[in-house]
This record gives sequence, C-alpha cells and structure tokens, in this order.
Amino acid sequence: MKKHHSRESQPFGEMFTGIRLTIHGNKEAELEGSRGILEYCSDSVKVNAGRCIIAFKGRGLHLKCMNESDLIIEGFIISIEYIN
Amino acid sequence: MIAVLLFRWIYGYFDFTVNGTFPERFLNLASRKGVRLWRTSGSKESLSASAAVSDMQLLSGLAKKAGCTFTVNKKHGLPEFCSRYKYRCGLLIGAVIGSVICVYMSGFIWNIKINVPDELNEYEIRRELAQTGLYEGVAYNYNDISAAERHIKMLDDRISWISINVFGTNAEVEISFKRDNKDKYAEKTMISNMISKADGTVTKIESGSGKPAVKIGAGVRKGQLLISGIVPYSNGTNAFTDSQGKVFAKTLKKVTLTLPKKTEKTLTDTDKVCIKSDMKFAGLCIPLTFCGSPLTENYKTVTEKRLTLLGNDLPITIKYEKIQPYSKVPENIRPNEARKELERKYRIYRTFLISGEDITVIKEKLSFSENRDGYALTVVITTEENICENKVVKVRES
Repeated sequence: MKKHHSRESQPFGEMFTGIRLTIHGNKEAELEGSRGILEYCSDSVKVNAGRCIIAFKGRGLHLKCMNESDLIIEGFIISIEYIN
Repeated sequence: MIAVLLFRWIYGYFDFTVNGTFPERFLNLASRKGVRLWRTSGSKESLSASAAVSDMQLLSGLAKKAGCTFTVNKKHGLPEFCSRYKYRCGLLIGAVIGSVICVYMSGFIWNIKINVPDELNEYEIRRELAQTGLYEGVAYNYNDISAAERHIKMLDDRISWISINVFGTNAEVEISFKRDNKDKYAEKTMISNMISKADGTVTKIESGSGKPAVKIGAGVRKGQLLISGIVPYSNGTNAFTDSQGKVFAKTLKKVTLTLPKKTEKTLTDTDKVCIKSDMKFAGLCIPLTFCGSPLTENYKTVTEKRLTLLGNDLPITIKYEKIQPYSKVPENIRPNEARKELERKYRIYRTFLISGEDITVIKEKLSFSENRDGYALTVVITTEENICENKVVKVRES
C-alpha cells in the first residue's frame, strides 16, 4: 500500500536528499544540487534546494562559480538557514 | 589558477552588468545554459560578472528573457587586443621583424673577451684570432673555433692550454702558460764569474759568494775577471758557485752629442686639426663624420673606445682619428741656442743612463765646439760605479 506523507509530516532527513553542502570555515560554502538562485546580494544569498530554501547571510557574499546544479559561495558567512 | 587566467585571456572575456528587478533569474538561466560566470557581485537590482566573449550574445538574449538590461562594461584578452590594434599592422610587422632579427643575430659572436698572461699581447692574440676567422661579427661555427684554438697554441711554445668558450653571443678566450720548473733548477745549479764591463781603478769590493780576483787600487780592463765562481779549498779540491758581489771602480766616460747647423722646424697648425670618427660594427666601418683627410703632411692619433652597457661590452667600437697637419720650415741654429739644446740633451742622457744606486758622478767636464757641419758638446764624466757583469761558465762533463 502506497504511503502518502503531507509536507508537515515528512521526515527531516528526507527533506535534504539530493543536496550536499560543504562548508570550509566561514569563508566558503559549496552546494551541490542547487535548483536556482532566489536572491543574490552581498549580504544575503538564497538558493532553491528543491524541497527547502537555503539562506546564506553574511558580508561580501558572492558566487565564485556556478553551473546548473552546483555553486560555490565565497565571503564572510555569518549564518546558514534552512527555510522549509 | 595561472593556467585558467591565461586561457581566459587567450580566448577573451568581458565584464558586464545586468540591471532589472530580478537579476537572480538571469543567473539561473545562465547556469541552466551552462554559461560559466566568474567575479560575480550583486546588489538589490543589479548584478556584475565576467564571462567569455563567445557567450556574449547568449547572455544578452538571456538578460532580455529575464527582463533585465544587459550592459557590457569592458572587454579583455587577446581577441580584444587584436581588434584594438588591427588597423596598426606596423606594430605587428615591427614585432615580427624584431623577433627575426633577434633570432638571426643570436647566431653571431658579438664580443670576444681575452684573458691572457702578461707576457702575451692581447691585441696580437685578437689579430691572430681574426686571421683564423674568429672576430666580432662572425657567424658562430664550432669548427672555426677549434681551428682557432689550434692556431693560437702553435703560435707560442710556452702556451700549454687554450680554451675558447662561447656563451650565447660572447666568446671567452683563456690562455695559460706551461710551468717552467727546468729553468729554475738550472738557475740553482749555475756556475758563473763576475767580469768587468769597463776600464777603471778598483775602489771598493763587496763580495757575496765566489772569490775576489782583484784588490782595491788595482787597475782593471774591460772583460777582466773580478770575482771567480771557482773557489779552491786547501785540500786541493774546488767548489763551483754562482758568484755574487759588487766591485766599484773609478771610471772615465766620454760622451759626444752633436747638432747640425741647419735643421727643419715643425710648425703645427692647430686651427686645421681634423677629428674623424667611425663606428665599427659587425666588421663594417661606418663613418660618422665626413671631414676628409688634409692633403699636407700630418700626424695621426688613433683612439678606439668600446661601448659598454651595464658593465657588458657591446659589439660597437667608436674610432676617433685626430689628424694634425704640419709643415717643415728650414732653420739655422745659433751657437748659444745649440749649446742650450745640447746641454738639455746631455741632462736627459745623464738622467736616464748615468743614474742609479750603483753609480755616482764624481766629476764632469763639458766642452762645446763648433765646426763646419755643426756643433758638438763633449762631456768627460768621472764616475764611481759597479763594474761587475755576470758571465755564466759552461761546464761540460767528460
């Protein structure tokens, strides 16, 4: 029998399947599995990660490089927020 | 990273700005199309980045699609450099010609540095090398250099080793002599006498080694034995030595200096001095001045100056030739002028020929005379001098 889960009842770990976030100190973050940038300015970068949005906040944030699914954010990262 | 920068420069890139309400949409479209962006920096409604020149049209279309304005700020890289200077082909031609000249000139020897012992003349070595085909401005050829080495080695028996090393366009010649140990040994075992080099009366004897053969007060003739190198022992045997010592004697010298009554006086004309300069380069002599040579008799003084740059000799020599015209005027010399001139000549003679620690002038008598041909100054000089002269005794084994 097929089991249907509502968004609220979805297990936490399943929400992040398909993305990988690697952080080097607080200066660089590599994100694999991005589906697009939602907001981009020097103090905030929001990335669509499929089932959630990942918001990077800090100073002097910029994209070092990006392609269809991966991106690297450089700058002084203060916080990373997962917005569901 | 340097390789990436180099490739970007070779293929060309440009800086651009995208303005609009939602520039992030432009970023997403660009990433979906696989366009590589770098140096991205964004604010609320604008985005700046760099991309390859080949993606310019695509990015412009994507900006339109995202509802943004697309502005190219600056182009960089080789394609931009070429397009900027495409109407100045002279620069390219000059660069190509310059490179070709550099490559071609590197095949020649432009500077020859010679390190020789003091006994050898650097100028002569340079001339001999030129005869064998090694001179400044010649094309580098290994066979010529080895032939030059052989030729120089055969010039002088004392040369034991020669090497000509070529570093780039410089040739360095090193010559060293043989060590002559045989002669030093022969000097140590030499037997010699001291003989007289002038007639005189012995006043003092300073004998080092050997046996004096004369006594103080004795009169000696030129060539007479003064100190013998063969010293007899009381047991009948002899010791053979290299005799050393000084024998001072009172001697008489007679010097006659003459001057003709009629002579030619040289008059130089300083206003007509001509200085010619030539530039020597690659075996060519290029005149720098065109003053010409005077038709009258003249003296020439030649000076060569080699140009240097940062301590390195350049293959350019500037030759200065100073030409001083002169004329000869017959002149009659008066007796008082002749006497002054002859006395001046005698003073020079005395300074250079009767001087030193082994000779003292006791008395000198000057007499000036005039005859039909000219004037004469006769000087009788009484000196006390060392009259010893070393003479090697040849010993033959029997």
